[in-house]
Order: sequence, then structure tokens, then C-alpha cells
Amino acid sequence: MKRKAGSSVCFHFFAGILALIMLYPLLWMFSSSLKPTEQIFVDAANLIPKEIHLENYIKGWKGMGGISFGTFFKNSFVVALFATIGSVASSSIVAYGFSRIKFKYKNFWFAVMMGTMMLPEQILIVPQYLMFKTMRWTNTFLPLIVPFFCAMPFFVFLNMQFLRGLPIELDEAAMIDGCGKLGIYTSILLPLTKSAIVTSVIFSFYWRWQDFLAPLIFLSEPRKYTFSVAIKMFTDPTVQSDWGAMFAMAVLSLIPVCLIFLFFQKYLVEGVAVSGLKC
Amino acid sequence: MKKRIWLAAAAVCLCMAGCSSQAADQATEQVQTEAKTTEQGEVVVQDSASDNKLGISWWGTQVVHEFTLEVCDKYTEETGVELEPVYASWGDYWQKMNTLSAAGDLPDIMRQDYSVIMQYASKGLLEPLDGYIESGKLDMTNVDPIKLEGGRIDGKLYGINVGSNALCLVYDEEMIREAGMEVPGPDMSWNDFEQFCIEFHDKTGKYGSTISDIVDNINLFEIIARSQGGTLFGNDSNLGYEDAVLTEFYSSVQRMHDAGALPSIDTKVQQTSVEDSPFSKGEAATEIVWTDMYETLVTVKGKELGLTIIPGSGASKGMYVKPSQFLSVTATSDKKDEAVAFIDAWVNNKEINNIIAGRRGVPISSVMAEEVAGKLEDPGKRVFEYMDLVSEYASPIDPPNPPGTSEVNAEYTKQFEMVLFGESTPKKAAETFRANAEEALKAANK
Amino acid sequence: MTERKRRKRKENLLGYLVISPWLIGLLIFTFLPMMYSLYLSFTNFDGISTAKWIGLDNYKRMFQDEKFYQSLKVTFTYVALLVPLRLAFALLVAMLLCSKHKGIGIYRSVFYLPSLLGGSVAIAIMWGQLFGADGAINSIIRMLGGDVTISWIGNTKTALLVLVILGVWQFGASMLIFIAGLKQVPVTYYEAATLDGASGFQKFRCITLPMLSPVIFFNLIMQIINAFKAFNESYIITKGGPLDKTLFYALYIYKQSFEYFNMGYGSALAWVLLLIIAVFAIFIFKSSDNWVYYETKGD
Repeated sequence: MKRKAGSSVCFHFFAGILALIMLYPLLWMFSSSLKPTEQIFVDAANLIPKEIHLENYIKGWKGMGGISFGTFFKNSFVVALFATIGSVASSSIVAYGFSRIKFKYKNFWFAVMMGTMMLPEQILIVPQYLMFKTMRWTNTFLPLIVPFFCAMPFFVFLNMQFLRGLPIELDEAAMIDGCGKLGIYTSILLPLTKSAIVTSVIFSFYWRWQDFLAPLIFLSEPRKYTFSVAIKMFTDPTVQSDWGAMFAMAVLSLIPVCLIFLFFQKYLVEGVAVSGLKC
Repeated sequence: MKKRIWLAAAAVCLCMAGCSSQAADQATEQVQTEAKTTEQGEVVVQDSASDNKLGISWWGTQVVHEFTLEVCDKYTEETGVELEPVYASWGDYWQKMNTLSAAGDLPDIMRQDYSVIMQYASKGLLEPLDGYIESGKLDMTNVDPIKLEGGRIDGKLYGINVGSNALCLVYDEEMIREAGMEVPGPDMSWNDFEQFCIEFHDKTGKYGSTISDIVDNINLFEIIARSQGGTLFGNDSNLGYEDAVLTEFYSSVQRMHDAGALPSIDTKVQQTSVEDSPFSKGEAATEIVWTDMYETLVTVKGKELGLTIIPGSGASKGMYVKPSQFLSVTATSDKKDEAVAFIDAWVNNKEINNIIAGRRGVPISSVMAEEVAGKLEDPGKRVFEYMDLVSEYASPIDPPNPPGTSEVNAEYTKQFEMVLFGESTPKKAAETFRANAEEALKAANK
Repeated sequence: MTERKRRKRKENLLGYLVISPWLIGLLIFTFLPMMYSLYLSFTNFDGISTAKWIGLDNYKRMFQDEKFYQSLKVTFTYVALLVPLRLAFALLVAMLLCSKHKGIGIYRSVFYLPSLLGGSVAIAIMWGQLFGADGAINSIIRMLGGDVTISWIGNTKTALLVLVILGVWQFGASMLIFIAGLKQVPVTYYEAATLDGASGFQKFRCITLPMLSPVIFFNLIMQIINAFKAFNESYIITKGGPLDKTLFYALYIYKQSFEYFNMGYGSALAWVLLLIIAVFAIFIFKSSDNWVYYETKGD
């Protein structure tokens, strides 16, 4: 009993120190967002602002050209939400195909899929723009959403690794019970890969939320800009930058991502017990 | 049998595509309605180019966006021509414009920069404007022709310059006086400046100037080279100065650096913007910047600052005024006349010039310059006065930078760093720079 | 025989049906752009005018390109340092966070936060502050009695190391995947092992590691791919400096394509990167037979 309390203290001690180190930048950003712009760099070493200024938030939120950050927020949210739904659902089912069904040239296709992840995005953006232009998709959200309904290799691979960790006997037992291949997927394997799905949701939402290059290139009307594109308008090396407003908006942009994380990570809490085959 | 498989697969494909685009459509639709666009319930797939609006693009920060949008609104109010603006910050702007140009999708009017306009013009992406001036559609009667020269490439005018910039030495008078020293003036030579920095450091322990503004800015050396009768770029993919000039410049900065009169080269990456330079933080007495940074520095420091020409440039007119913002019409535009009319209004319209209020430099039209001049306040006024001073010490600018310039700039900075890190000597660095730069220029002009 | 054939065909059809979303996406959204960039790699293309076919010149050019070698060296060093460090750290913390203590959820969130800030300007500025000449790191060292004045981030010898530390510090994403993997290990296995009197380390070696190996494998592959493609860190914080000591390969591709307007050469560099990563990936995939344990044997 005593030993257990000791280990608990020990745990909290180290985890606490680590937490402080991890939190430092966030605190720094938050405190900078409360300082007047002129003070941010002069006073950069101070974590606690001398006085608290909320102007950055008010000024930042107003946005520019009559478009407030509310609009950018909404745009980002729509894009991130639909793209996440699309990529998580499609990736899970594609992963099932790759890990549980035998078909011709499977290894070849798998290699191709891994290969598509290896080219840097920057190099693909020009040809993609040309393509979306001929499809008349530029300046809409379609290029930011539709491709994600076609599965993302990262999530496919992630789901595959989790699926392959589940014993094949599960499938066989279900088959004997009269389950079809797709039935096995929906009623047995899907619930068991919950932790992979949750992880995918958290990552996908965050990636789409902070995605910068694609919205910048594919959207032209400022009214359609996403949060991450709009935020960069506060800084420019050729003229005066509004750092305060930028930090303020950066702090706000973290809120939805954190909420998604907090909401979904609780599903990671319980472990999975492999038992109870029902079809 | 095989056929059936493919049919089934095709059906699934269609279904998937249908489902997905439906969902996406909903998304688009949702935002469309919220943004109060007219076409509701339909997928809005409009192309900015096919639209009837006049496309215009520029870079800058929020402040620039605000007043330029105001200009656009004013223009629409007066002429009824609707504009479709696209704006971003500097780096993003160019990445976007380069992508659009590859797709033949540039807006009708685009803001151009002196360092890029040659690339665009030589690829035939910009429309020559001479014809419009002759026909009177673009009225330049009140503009001194010399002010248009910057936009001329191979004899043709590809952009109307609507803003000017010059390098300057900004100094903190208070700090310098406290050290018991004289503030720099137009007749200071570069050697004097070196001595000034070292002396200031000896007396106060602070820095004479900043490091990244000197090391990263090839235009500073360009002025030094011009002051000694050379140019940065020569005629034919080569460099137009004597190696000894660069060697001496590298050595001078090395001496200041090694004496501690400049911040250590180590700290260069720590400076991300003019707002966090050692000068802004009160650790350095001077900073070499473009005039459009002056206002920022004044805001950050919260006091009036002195400004003068680059040391060593006074004696033989090494300074130049750089056209910093061109308005160009793109070659792919299908509304060239409307685009020209907008530029004409930017130059000649009184209301519009009152909105711009010199925020992009002195108006090029002498009539508008008078109109605006009376209404200016500090620190903008100070910059106006400085530009007057510069014109006394300036000679015409050299032709726009040739393709390959950005590679040359990167190489210049790299050799500079090698010297300051002690991995090369000024002489060797100057030679290596010439060899590599000329190779890059040749490759880019092939 | 025919029965088996038919079953096989049916399974084939089903397989293609199930992966069809990805196949369609590949054909429409990825294949064409990839082929276009492959084509560009054989041309002289400045991103603006029409591309000119120059055959293998871009690929030959690399052999003489000093910066190409430099960026390769930097990237390989970065990958070799970052990947093992980050994975070890992520796994350690993940296991720590799978124990039963109060406030685990809070720690988990806090540890994940840094990976959310990844490529932001705020990080660039702050990291410069922390590792600068008068930064917090130096203050701590001085407090401990050391005497340092160097700027870690601006020094040619330490700059890359600072970026590695930044990468390790953003271990949150890998940690999350490890946690998800650990949660999938059936509790019954541990219970049985405890009954058999296994020690903590034995449990780790004989249950955790093998059961987790598919996820370790996943993290390893992904981390290697991403570390080779690392871009943001150097783009935002060091711009490749000082003296190209942090010139990542992807940053060099970007500079060639968008700053120096050599998009053809940039594309060629990108395809070489793909080949390099592919070689590594194939090597790890081949070796995985020996150390990755799948419940589903046979395929």
C-alpha cells in the first residue's frame, strides 16, 4: 500500500515536470496574445504580461475587408468536418480490403499506395491546380473535401495495422455463424478497431483544420478562405505585422482542435477485450 | 463474367463518387447560403476568370488589405465596375501567383515587384502598356517619364510604378547622444560607419547596428558597388563590380562583427521580422532597412527616429529609388481595357489618392502628389522628406533583376555567413560568390 | 476446381470493390498529378513559361550540385537522430500513461498539445527565444554553473540538433497511436502472465512488444517517411541556415521550385526523394517478417 502511494507521487512528479515543459509554448503564445504588439518581442522572455490587453482578440476577430474571423472559422469547420468524415470512413473500409480480403495484385496496389505518400505535397500542387481548374472546382471547397472521400493512405495503413493485430479466428468463427464478409467487417472488426478510428478522427480533423497550402492555392475569394490562410494575413515581411492579433487568433484556432481531442480521447480510455462473438 | 465484374465495380464507383460529391455539395451550399451568394441550392463552381468581375491581386498585411479594399469599393462606387480582389502575404502571394500563371489563370490586374517583374514579363505574362498611353486610355501627362522607367523591360513598359522605396539607415538619436557621439549624416563614409559602430560598442557595450539586415540584404552591397562606379549585375549573366570591392565590404563587416560591434552571426536566425530586431529591442543604435519599414520601427520603439542615406553612398550617387509596387495588366486578361482604366484611376483619381494617402509612397502624378502632400503627418511625412533627400544622392536604378536573382541572393548571404563564421576569408568568399552567381545566372538564362 | 475458381473470382471482385474508393481517388486525384510531375522532371520548367524537354539533364545536374549532397547529408542525419529518439520517447510516455493514475486524461492532452502547434510561426519565434544566446536554455545552464554564450539555434554545430529536439518534443502524435495500440492488447494476456509470476520487464518483452509490433512498425514507417519529407521546421525557423546546416531535402526542393523558379529540377529532386524513401520502406517491410507479429498469420 505504501509502495503504491510512493509510486503515485513519483509518477505525478515526473509527469508534472514533463507537462510543464510541454505546456510552455502554449502559455507563451497565450501570454503574447495578451500583450500589445510592440511589447511582444521586447518582453518576449516574460511569461506573465505586465497588463492584460484584450484588444488583440477584438481587433483580430474583426478580420479584414469586412469579413470577420467568424466566416473563416465556419469555412475551416465545414472543410475539416466533411473531410474527416470522408477520410475516416473510406480509409477504414479500404483497410479492411487490404488486410482481410485476398485479391489479385494486392501487394502491388499496396506498394502504390505507400508510394503516393512519399512525394512531397509541394511538388504536386501545380498539376493538381490545373486539374481542378479543368473540373471547374477551383474557388470551391470541393478540392478540399472530395479527395478525402477516397481514403487517405496514412489512415488506411493505420487501420490495417490494427486489423492485422486481431486474430483471424474471429472472422472464421463469424463465418461459421453465417456472417458475410461485409458483415464481419461491420459487426465484428469495426467495433474492435475503435481506437484506430478514434485516432484517425483526431488526426484528420487537426490536419484538415491547419491545412494551409491547398486552401491557399485552390480558393481565391477571400470570403472562402479558411482560418489558417486568413491568420497568415497578419504578418508580412515587407510591411508592419500585427503580431498581437495573429497570436490571439492562433490561440482561438486551437480551441476546436483541442475540443475534438478532449471529446474523442475519452474513447481511448478502456482497453479492448477480445471476446464475445456476436453477429 | 468478367464484364459483369467491371460493371459492378463501375456501379460502385459511381455510387461512391455520387455520395461523396453530394456531401461536399452540401458543404459548399451551406457556406454559399451563409455568405449570401445568389446561386442557392446549386453547386457553385464559378471560375474567377470567367466571372464578369475585374480580378485584382496584391500582397501585404491587414492594413494594406483594408485600404486597398477601400480603394476598390470607391472605384466600384464611381464607375460601377465590380472588382474581385485576391490578397495574401508576400510569400503566399507569389506561391499562389506562380501556380495561377502556370494555369493561365492570373487575375486581370496584379501587383508586381521589381525583383519578379522581369521573370513575368520575359515569359509574356504581362501586357505592354505603351499602346494604352499613346491612345490616351492611360493618362500619364502629369507623370515625370523617369518615374516610369523602372517598369520598362527591353524597351516596353510592363508595369506602372505606384510606390517607391529606398534603403535607409535608421538611427536612435537618443541612444547615440547618450553615448556622447554624433548622429550619422549623408556625408558619412562606410569606413566612418565602421568606426562609428565600433566606438559606440566600446562606449556602451551595445551594438552599432544589426546583423541580419546587413548579411541578408544584397541591395546594400549593390549600393556600395554603385558608389564605386560598378553595378551588381553586369550585362551578360555576369556581375558588374571589381572583386576587391566585395572583399573590402566583407572584411569591413567582419571587423565590426569580430569587434562585437554587431550581434554575433549566431543570432541571425533569431530575428524573424523587423519587430524583433536588436534595434527594435533597444540593443542596437542603427538598422539598415527599406523606407517602408520606418513606420513600423517608429511604432515599435514608440519614439521618433532619425533616418539618413546609406553610409558611403553620398559622394558618388550610389543610392537609388526603387519602384516598389507596380500595377500590371496580365496578358491572359480578357478585360484589358477595364484593367487599364483602373490603373488610370489609381494614378489620377483624386478621391482614390486621398484614400491611399501616400501609404504606398509619393504619388507619381505631380498633381496628386501636391494633393496628398499637405495632408500628411509624421512618421509618413518624415519618409516623404527622406525621399527628397535621397533624390539628391541618387542616380537612376539599374535594370530589373535578371532571372536567377534569388539564387544569387542566397549565395551572397551564404558566402557572407562563411566569412563571419570564420570558415572562409573575405577574398575567397568574394571569388566563390562570383563564380557561383555567374553560373546560376547562366543556368537561369539558358 | 471450378468451384474454387469461382470463389476466388468472387473474392477478387469483393477486394476491388472494397478498395475502390481509394482506387478511384488514385486515378483521379493522385495519378495524373504524379505523372505530370514525373514529366516535369525531364524538362526545363520555370513554373511560368512552357516546359522544355531536356531528357535526363536534371538528374545529371544533381551529381554536380553541392547543395543536393548537403541537403541529403542534413536529412539523413535528421532522420537517423529523430526517428529512434522520438519513437522511444513516445513509447515510454505512452506506457506511462496507460498505468492507472488520477488525471491521466489531463496529462495525455497536455503531452499531445505540442504536436498541434507544429508548423506555426509562434513556435519559430519561441524556439529562437529558448535556444538563443540569451535564451532560457542558456540561463538554466548558467544557473547550474556552466558558462555559455552561444546561440544554439544559430550555431553551425548545434542548429540541426535544436531542430531534432523540437521534433522529439512533438512526440504527441506517435504517442497517441501507441496508446491506441496498447489499449488493443487484451487485458487477459497480462492477467495470465501475472498469474504465471512474470516480472514487469518480462511482460513488456513477451507481451507488450510482440502485440504492439504492428503499431511500432506503422509508426516507424510513417516517421521515416515524414522525417525525410520534413519541411516546416527548417522553413519556418532556420530557413535552412546557418550555412545550409539545416537545409532539409524538402526545403531544397521547395527553394528550387518556388524561389529559384526551377520547377523541373525541383520535380526531379522530388522523384529522387521518393526513390530514397522507397528503398528504406522496402528494406523495413522485408525485415518486418522477422520482428512484426501479426495475429493473422498467413497473409
